[in-house]
Amino acid sequence: MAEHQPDRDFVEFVSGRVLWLRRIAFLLCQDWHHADDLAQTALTKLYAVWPKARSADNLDAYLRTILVNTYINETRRPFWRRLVTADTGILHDLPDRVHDSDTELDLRAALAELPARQRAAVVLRYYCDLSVEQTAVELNCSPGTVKSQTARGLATLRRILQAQPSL
Amino acid sequence: MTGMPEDPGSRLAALTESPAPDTTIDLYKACNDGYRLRLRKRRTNRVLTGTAAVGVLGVAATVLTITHSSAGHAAGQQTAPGAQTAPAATTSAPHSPSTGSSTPSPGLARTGVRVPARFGWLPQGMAYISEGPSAGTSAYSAAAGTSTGKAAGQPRVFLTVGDAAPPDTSSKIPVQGIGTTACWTTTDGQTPVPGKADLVWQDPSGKWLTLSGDYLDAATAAATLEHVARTVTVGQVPLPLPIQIKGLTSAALNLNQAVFNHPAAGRTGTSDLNIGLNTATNGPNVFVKPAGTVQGPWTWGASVCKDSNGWNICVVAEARAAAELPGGISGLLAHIQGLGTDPAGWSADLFAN
Repeated sequence: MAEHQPDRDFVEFVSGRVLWLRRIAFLLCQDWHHADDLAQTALTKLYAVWPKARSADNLDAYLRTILVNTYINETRRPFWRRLVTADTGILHDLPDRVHDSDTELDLRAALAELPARQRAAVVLRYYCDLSVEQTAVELNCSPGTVKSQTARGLATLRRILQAQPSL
Repeated sequence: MTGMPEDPGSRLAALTESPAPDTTIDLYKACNDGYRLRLRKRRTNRVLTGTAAVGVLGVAATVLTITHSSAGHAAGQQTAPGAQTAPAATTSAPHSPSTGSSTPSPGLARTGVRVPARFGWLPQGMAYISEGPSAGTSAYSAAAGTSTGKAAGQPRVFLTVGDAAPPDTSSKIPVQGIGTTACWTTTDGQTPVPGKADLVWQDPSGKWLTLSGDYLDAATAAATLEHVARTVTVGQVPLPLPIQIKGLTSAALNLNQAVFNHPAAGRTGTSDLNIGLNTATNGPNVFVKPAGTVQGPWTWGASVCKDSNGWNICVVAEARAAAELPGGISGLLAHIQGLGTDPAGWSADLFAN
């Protein structure tokens, strides 16, 4: 295998963020193995542009944007793997469901029902704790679109989970 | 079915903390794949730039021909003043990046290979240290791990030393007893969770240090890293290496980067060394592992290897870089000598007469 001397500042930057990146990827796709693939691809893309990217003001946001775009682009492909469960007919990604509690399964199933951009908006707003404006920048859309995507996403989750009004 | 709580963020966070399989993310594979992607893009850009340059020259020549022809017709046989300067302008059209030669970056080995800090105490399982200087960045970084392997999932501690304070973009949690301005910089402003928080402090010398951990026990990670930080020694110290390049000066061949993996203090085990050298364009790499190791193959360049005083030494270079070496990669390899397996015989002077 070809060896390449990694840029040390890249290794330093990324090494403390692997788990963070993996968790965001997991929320996007609900499958740990798929999350690893997404994160791996995002890191590869970041390294490809690292000579320029290393001077970015907010590298975390830069990396997160690559991850979200990778995920959204992937879902546009026709061969994106999906399953139709026999009992509900609901479309799910292929999750690793071992060890999950019913509560986690419910939320994962609910998240899986959201379209990719809605899911990304919900994850960025509520897990990554970004503002509407920051989310808009990372999703390359208007703040108004973020608000509507988030509202629809939460409404869908609320409907599926029979949520409390406070959501 | 269960409903969402008042804070969807906490529910999502809880979801990510559910039991998960070991990660298969491979940081070093990402570097290799990303590097190849970078090279591919660079080649594509060169082709496109060359095509664009030819196109610009063609269009410019056509325009000039028309202009010259029109001016000639308008002014009889007199030459228009603008037409004289125009060809000069076209010859200064952007050229392909591939025709430009870069200047070698300042060498790191003129005064010996040195590092600006060393680890002190390390957790029980941390048996190996990977460290070395890197040109092009002001920061030095070192990592301590459980083995020289680069497998994902092994606990590691990362230390960076730089001149500038880290960007002030995160929430901070003050920490007592480390430097003067120690704090955890976190993404959530609440807890120093490994992978989401860095320990940052300024040494009395003015250097900024950043410590982070990976795959540490979450329950004790913060305390572990704070103890590691309290025992870090700041100050330039030589980094003895197990090889030496003899008969070539650092003026002709600069050290761009060195990554030395070696057992931590008081531990035993094998070492290995990766060195990146600078020539005018793209430098060769030197890979050093214990004698008898079969290294390679490398698909991105030509390579030659030899055993020397307990070490297997390989020089690898792309065609252009190899052409710039005196005697090619074999010529460079002939100048490199192992210094034995006893660290007492190693030297921080990478270049020697």
